[in-house]
Amino acid sequence: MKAFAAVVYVCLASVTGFALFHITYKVEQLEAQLSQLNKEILLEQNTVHVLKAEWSFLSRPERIDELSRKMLPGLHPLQTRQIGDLDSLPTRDIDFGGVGGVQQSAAPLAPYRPVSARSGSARTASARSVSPQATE
Amino acid sequence: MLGRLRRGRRTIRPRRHIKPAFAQPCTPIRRDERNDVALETGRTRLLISGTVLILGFAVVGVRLVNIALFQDALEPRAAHAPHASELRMGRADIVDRNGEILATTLQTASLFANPRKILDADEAAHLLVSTLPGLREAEIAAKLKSNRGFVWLKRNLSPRQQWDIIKLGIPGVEFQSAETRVYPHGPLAAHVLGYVDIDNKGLAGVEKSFDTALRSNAAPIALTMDVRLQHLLRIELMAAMSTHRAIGATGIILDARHGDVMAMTSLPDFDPNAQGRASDNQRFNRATLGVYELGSTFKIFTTAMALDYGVVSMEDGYDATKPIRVSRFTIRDYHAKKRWLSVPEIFMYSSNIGSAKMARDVGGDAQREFLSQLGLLSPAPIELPEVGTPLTPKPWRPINTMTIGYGHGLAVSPLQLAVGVSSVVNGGILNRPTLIHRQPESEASNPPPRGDRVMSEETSQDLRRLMRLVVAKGTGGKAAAPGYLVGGKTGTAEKARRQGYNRRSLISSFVGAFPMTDPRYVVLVVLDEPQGTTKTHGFATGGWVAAPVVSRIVEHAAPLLGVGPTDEQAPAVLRQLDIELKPEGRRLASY
Repeated sequence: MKAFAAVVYVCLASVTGFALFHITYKVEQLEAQLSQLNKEILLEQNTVHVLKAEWSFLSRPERIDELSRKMLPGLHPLQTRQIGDLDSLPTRDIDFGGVGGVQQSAAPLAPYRPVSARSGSARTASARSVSPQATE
Repeated sequence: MLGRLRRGRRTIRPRRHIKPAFAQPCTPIRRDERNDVALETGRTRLLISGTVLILGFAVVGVRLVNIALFQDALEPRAAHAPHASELRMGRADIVDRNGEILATTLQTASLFANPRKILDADEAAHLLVSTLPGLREAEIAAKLKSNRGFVWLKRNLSPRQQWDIIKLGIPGVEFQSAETRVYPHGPLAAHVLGYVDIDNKGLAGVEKSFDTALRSNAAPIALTMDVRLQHLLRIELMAAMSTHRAIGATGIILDARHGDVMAMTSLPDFDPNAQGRASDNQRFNRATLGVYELGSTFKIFTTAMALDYGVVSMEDGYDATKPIRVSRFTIRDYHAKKRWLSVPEIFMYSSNIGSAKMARDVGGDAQREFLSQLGLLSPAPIELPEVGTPLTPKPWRPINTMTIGYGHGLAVSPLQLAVGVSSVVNGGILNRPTLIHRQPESEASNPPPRGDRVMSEETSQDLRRLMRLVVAKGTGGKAAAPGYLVGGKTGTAEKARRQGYNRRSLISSFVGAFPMTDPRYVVLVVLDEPQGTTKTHGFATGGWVAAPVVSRIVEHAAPLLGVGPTDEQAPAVLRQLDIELKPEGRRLASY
């Protein structure tokens, strides 16, 4: 009886010991991993920080102003007459009878057709799409 | 004690015939009174000491479990695991009201070498110069050949340059990392932001006034400025400055309802990234530190004061036929009409004679009281270290009262003027100007302080009509931006010199507000010593040089500020803003 108890105790002790060491090593390994990940996160955060500063530098109004003058010669500062509100739009009689009526109301947008299928040149097509006044 | 216990135990169960290994065959033990007492004592002692021991072990056990399972498990590890919650720089960012970065701190590497470890100085110098074209090869080679243990090669490398040098793999060349303050927008808001010294300590502007907060907090400081408006203001002022060959210019866009400074520029400015190269003239903040006699724009305050104190009404007027002579001064009109002028006419033609008489009738004490309520007699309460103290006359003589009536004899900073005008047009409430943006979410729990009422709403409404009149029919016509109902007042002041005033050097300004039906923003433009051009027929007055700048700024800024155009001829607008001029005035105003 005594011998049996001793064997049980020794077994328990060794199992506990093994588990303890196993867990300790596992924890150390995870700690190392955590520390590595934290380091990487910090590095990434630093990179994001630098990129934010760079974004601010690249998107400064002075540069955008200059670039838009150079690259978008057709674009001008907003004129007062280009601004309107919903009330100033002329009303139009639209038949909303049924579901199909909604689609009818979207008539001004011509369905897309590939350039090759059109009789006109691609140039006029793009010119028309940027200036809606010209089409009306 | 142990011996006693054992003895006691033996005597407790005498009749069980347990056979101790060392004992003789059991013999009955005599019981008597004395033995019983000793037994009881031993039993009690055993119980007490046993309980104490169990309690002790229980405490240790509970604490052990507590530490092992429930305590913050990270605590002992903190020493060797970097915490990755938030990147902390030595100095927090400064952002604009939309979160655009105005100032930030970056890790930069500086390159140094240990010449004793350099193997081939000439080759190393050649390689370094090929990577960093700014350096001179001979100089670097000489440094690397020296007998010292440490030489600086180049400070503040970009990350790319640093990487290129690491790739070269020269032994003895190393980096030291340091934090550098970077202003991505360059000179855009230089005077507001200020700058830092080489140890990142704030020396001017917001960098100085919020130095402690920027050092201790990780959260960025948000300004009320908007980089788009700031850019707009700056380029328009720069254009006006070069057209009119002015020596300086200032512009302010102020939120009339809350006192937020949306944009503030002082020209000439400087690049805070290279503040060491800036001259004192460039560093000088003309918007807050400079104080100027701003001339006729002060007639806004004189008229508001006279109307609010009930000294005059909109129908009254003054005789402006002849210049006023007071002791050795003569007060003349620039746009002289040489007749009786009503209050609206005095304002729209900017009559010095009329305004001086109006101020005289209000009186010096009342004038001082009114101007001090508008904050014009004490430094502007703005969050900048560079704030100018107004120059007030001492003593305040009657002649000073009259000259201050049309803006001479009292020097204030442009910001003070803009704040004063915003309180005149916003319904009569003076709001403290601020550069620090209040986040909308904190607005609900922490509402902004209400400003003080400085004049009645009726006076404010009258002044709106008068300021609209100046742009619609008077001296400020060039400030009109169709659709935005700009109102304002021109100002042209001669600069004071040692003796009297200099007629050739002017401070020309225009202060405007829009839309005049319910003004939301105040725009102030001041040009220092502008020269007339052929386009302005040689004039360099506020109406000719500063008003057109305001017009352009309003036209481009209004869509950014969410102010839509309105029909200026709409009956409701006309009813609110139109002023019935006296028949004579109407005839004269037609040319």
